[in-house]
Amino acid sequence: MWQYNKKLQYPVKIKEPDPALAKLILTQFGGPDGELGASQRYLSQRYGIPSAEVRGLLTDIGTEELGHFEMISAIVYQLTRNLSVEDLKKGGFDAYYVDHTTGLYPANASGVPFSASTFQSTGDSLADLTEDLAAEQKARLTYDNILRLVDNPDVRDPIKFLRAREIVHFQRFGEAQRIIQEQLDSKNFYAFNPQFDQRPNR
Amino acid sequence: MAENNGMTHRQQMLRKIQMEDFACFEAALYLDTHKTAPDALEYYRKHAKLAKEAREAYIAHHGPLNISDSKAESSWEWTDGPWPWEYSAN
Repeated sequence: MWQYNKKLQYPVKIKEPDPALAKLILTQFGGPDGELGASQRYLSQRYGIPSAEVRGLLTDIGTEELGHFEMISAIVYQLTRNLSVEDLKKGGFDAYYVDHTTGLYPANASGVPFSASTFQSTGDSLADLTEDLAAEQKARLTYDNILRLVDNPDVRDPIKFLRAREIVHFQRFGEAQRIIQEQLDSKNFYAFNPQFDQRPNR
Repeated sequence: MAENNGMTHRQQMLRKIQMEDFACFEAALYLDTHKTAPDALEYYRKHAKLAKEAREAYIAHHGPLNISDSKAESSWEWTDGPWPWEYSAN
């Protein structure tokens, strides 16, 4: 089970609200390569993985993603504090506002709600881990895109932290993929994994 | 409350926990895929001790970080603000 720790993984302290920026960063909350999807992807995939190390890794990275989901939420929350109607109109936040006021709702930057169709859980660990490697790259490039659009150092600082985490997760998933491939069949260099057909008793 | 670089005593103690917890977590992910790496095991032990000390010092002055840290004496301090996503908590 999970227990809540009353702290962010990395501090978020944004002095100046900026609704236009909030709208962009929202995509890492509920968008296709966002932190909510990342957490649900890894925590859904972990159950049948045929390696205890990799079951552990998916649990730990999935848990860290929940912490990132909270950091992104904190960024959006702090960017939309104390807004006047003028501020939110000027920042193009009025369409979001009319549905959600300044409540946190998992959607992408154009307002499309979060969907589980942005990830898979296939029951085939090599297929899943290959998706996970791509997912970390896609999240990293989304943070790179955000960093090109943002000057505010209060926002750049936690975004740079999150970007760096995608790079570390990519490394760990690469190792996990190698561990699984070696444990299944050291001669299996074509990397297919008939996991369903070769189930030991677990 | 004493200020230092614009941070309160509570904020400084929180930073220390965030740093030590991060060091432990990063080593943990590495150990998940390198379970006998001696340097990583030693690094983890060192920072786990520092994290525990930082956490105990924080809790003694500023209340629970985890619900299980609650003293449950005259008042339920778990719900005392601020919560982590608020500007003033960081």
